[in-house]
Amino acid sequence: MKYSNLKKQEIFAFYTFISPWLIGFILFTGGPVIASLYFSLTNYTVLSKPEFIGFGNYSSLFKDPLFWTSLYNTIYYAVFFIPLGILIAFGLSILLNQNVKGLAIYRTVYYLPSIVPAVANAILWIWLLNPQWGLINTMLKMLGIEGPGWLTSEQWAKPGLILMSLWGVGSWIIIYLAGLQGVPEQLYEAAEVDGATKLQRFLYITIPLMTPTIFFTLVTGLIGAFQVFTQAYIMTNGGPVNSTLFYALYLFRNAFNYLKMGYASSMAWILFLIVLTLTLVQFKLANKWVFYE
Amino acid sequence: MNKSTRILLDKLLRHLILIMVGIFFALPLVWMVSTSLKSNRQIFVFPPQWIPKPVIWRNYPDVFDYAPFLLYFKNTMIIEVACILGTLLSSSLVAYGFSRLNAPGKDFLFILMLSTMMLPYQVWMIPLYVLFTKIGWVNTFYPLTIPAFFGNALYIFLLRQFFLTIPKELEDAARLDGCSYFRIYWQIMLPLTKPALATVVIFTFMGVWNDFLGPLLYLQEPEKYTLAIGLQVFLTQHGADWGLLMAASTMIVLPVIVTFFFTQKQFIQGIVLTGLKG
Amino acid sequence: MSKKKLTVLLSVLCLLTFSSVAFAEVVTITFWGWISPEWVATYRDFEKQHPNIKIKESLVSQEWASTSEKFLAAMAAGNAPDASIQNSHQFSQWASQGAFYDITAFTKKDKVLAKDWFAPQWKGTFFAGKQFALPGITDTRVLYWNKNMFKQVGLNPEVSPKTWKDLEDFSEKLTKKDASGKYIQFGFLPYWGNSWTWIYGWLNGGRFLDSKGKKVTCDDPRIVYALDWMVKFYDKYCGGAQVAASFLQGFQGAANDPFVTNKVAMQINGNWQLWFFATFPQLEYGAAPPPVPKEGMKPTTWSCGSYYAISANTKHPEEAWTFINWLAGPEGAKALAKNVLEQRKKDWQRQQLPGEPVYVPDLFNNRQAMKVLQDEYLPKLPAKVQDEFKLVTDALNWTHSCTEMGLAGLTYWNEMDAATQAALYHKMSAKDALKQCKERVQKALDDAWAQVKVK
Repeated sequence: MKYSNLKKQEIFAFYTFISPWLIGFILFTGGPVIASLYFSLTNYTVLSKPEFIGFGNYSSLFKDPLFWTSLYNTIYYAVFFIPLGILIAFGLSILLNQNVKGLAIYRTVYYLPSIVPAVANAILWIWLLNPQWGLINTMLKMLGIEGPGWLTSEQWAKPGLILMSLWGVGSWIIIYLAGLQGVPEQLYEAAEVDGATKLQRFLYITIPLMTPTIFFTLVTGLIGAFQVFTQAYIMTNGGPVNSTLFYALYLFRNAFNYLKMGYASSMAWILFLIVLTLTLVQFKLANKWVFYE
Repeated sequence: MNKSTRILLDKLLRHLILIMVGIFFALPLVWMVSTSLKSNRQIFVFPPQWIPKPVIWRNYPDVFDYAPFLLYFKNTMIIEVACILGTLLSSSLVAYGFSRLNAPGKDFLFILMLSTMMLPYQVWMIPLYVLFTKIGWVNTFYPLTIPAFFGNALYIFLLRQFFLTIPKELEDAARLDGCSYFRIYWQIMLPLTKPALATVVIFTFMGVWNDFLGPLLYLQEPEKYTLAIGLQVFLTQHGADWGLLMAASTMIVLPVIVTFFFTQKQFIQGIVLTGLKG
Repeated sequence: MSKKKLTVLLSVLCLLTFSSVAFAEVVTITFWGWISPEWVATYRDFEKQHPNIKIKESLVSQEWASTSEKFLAAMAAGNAPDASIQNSHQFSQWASQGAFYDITAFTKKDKVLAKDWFAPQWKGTFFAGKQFALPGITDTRVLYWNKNMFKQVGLNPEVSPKTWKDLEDFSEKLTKKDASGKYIQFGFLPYWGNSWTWIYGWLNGGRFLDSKGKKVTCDDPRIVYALDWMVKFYDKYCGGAQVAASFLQGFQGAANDPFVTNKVAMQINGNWQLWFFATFPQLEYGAAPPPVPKEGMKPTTWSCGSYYAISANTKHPEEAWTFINWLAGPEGAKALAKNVLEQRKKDWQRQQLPGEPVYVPDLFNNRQAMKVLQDEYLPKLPAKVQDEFKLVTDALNWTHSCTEMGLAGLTYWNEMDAATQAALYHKMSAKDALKQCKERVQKALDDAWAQVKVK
């Protein structure tokens, strides 16, 4: 294929602009990532040299009930957390965007749980979710509902952790607010002049122009949700009865507690394939609903 | 009900929701500060006593007896400045490439870049550590700073999204005027996405501030420790000294909150000009 | 000897002595352990007593019980520290991988003998007949009972439960519900405190591994009986495991501890509770050996703790040995105790607590260290606490060790916890749960043995 000079210029510019990332990938990321792929084909305790065993880890994984349990727990978490998180973050952002007074305070406050040490969040949520005296169940009782056992209940531990994770949507709120700031005032004004209602302005201007940002949180939210780890590690240790044994927690145990880094690596690569597939699907679907300008 | 009452009620309702949610979100900070002023016996009393009795002000100055937190603050800030500069510069450059420039291999490379976020860090952190050991960077700040100059996949993706929303007409006009790609990047893309850039700054800052594993792995000497590691000094084999830990955490967190609050203006400005100007 | 010759001889001697002192190398060794002030002060005390060795300390990991990613990474990269603190729980597996330096020759040279140490944790430092660590600080678990609560329900506060039946009978009286049927007070919660299922299995005389450490035997009927007893106990006296767990949820410890606030009357917990209870002078409690399943059986308990190990590729094994031998022995114990007490005094002042801090020494595995601590600090304790301290120390003579959980110790731990929860929450019978545990752990154990590097 022959390229015009202009096109050649563009290609050259493209590679120049992305060179920092490309070089960094080759220098710092590529090697370790390939190493981990290799480790997934070995028994590797880290304390001694890896022993090649072919696909042994992968076949063991599929027969490992905890692999399936942890995968289920993680998918459960992702399926509920991502839409809920996006809805709540987006909703709060819309509310905030119309109210410039005190915006700085609110934005700061909503981001607080992400700034504060994880342990403070953990302790607070153990209290909030206390089945007998916690705030959540107390509020439910006021509505006449008998609150569940939350972190002590096999069925309700995951929902409890999902609730807690919703506290961390502050970063999404910040991103959405940045996106909302980018919607030109003139568009709203022109629409108002044309007689569009508030709802119409919201549906036909705000949402379409926010799709790039929403898409971003959807993609990165999914990548992050599949690696959920910290709360289960600090608060429930995978319990009760392995109901909060998330994939990343089981992976961590294998890598660092059981000296099975090879097995953990194979877990990592399976997760990678799953998330990559889902992300590619999202990009394909994006052509239908993400509107860039 | 006339229009002004409706607007008022609307405003009130909105404020009510925002305030209630806000109080809820502020709880951990309130708990932290409250705990930092308590004696250890009172900390886990339930229902929580929000106002400490007696107030242990001494937790705050005593924190400095445990570890040279000012030194740790300095170390952390060195890493912060390097990371913020590096990330901002490199991530925006790469994001511009991915957003506006076309070349063969672009889609593949973009997905490759995103893929680096999909492999859990636990399985490649040790080979990375071995790599850094081989080039002699262990026990220096380099592993914690230099990689920032090579772009961060998350922020590249974020900025790419924002760059894509800038009207192409602006760029086309500039190209017709003979602008180089770099000038477009520098004089059009960057100024018009200030809120996104500010977002990257905040997130980078928080990432470094709270990073524990990186400093744990790469900093062997106490003189090089960052604040995140410094907090471990309150952990003994008997458990943590919560009062001191929270006092130290509060002192670490408050400047962040205050800075964040006062730099909000960056987020509010930067309205995109439309192509309607022709 | 002529005066001249004497002068020359003396001068030469002086020169030699001077030069040997001047050229005495100061060796710096890296040590990864705790960095809280009392430990740092202890490292400095060592340096004062050994001017030719300097310690460069660094934090080993974030949490106590978990493994150190940092140490693993350093081993992979070949820059492990000269010495480090290791968790005894998974030690044998790490030792079997050749991570540590064989100190057998050192122990022989310096006459560090088995008889000078408490056996259970000492045994765990060996693998394939070689010794790879010195045991540091350890712990034991005993039964504590709340005398106030006993008095309240008409039980003799001086009589502790001796058998499992006693636990049941006492709980019958101590467990209370409010008008709406919600539990407000419990007698005993078997899986709370720091007992885990292990203690009940061991108390009933069960074995978790065969004598070679290669076969998992957690389906031993004695262990099944123990777990079954726990399940039945929860169902009969606590309203079920989940009710009990809900009750305990909000209590994070310290002043909110359910034992201290008269909510749970009896618990099996560690020796560290002694100094914790001492901060609550209004609490009247007693300590006794854990209750046995049937009369006539001997009580037992279990211990875990830390080991000090030298890394396999160290360049300074001698100096590292000197350090860990000191740290684990009476000198290290004295220094650490002194520094902890100083820190405790400062804490007391800062938190405006009344009186002087009560200092209950840590349990050292070295017998002489323990004796030194007892002689110095025991008389300063209130008489009651003295008795309790003697109990937890004596327990070192009849305790099991977490190292008995074998080469796949952490897998065994997690699977046992999962099995217990499955049984308590009625997902599986005790028998089936333990059978499943056995299958899973056996596999991990086989893998661990297959990968042993040290023969």
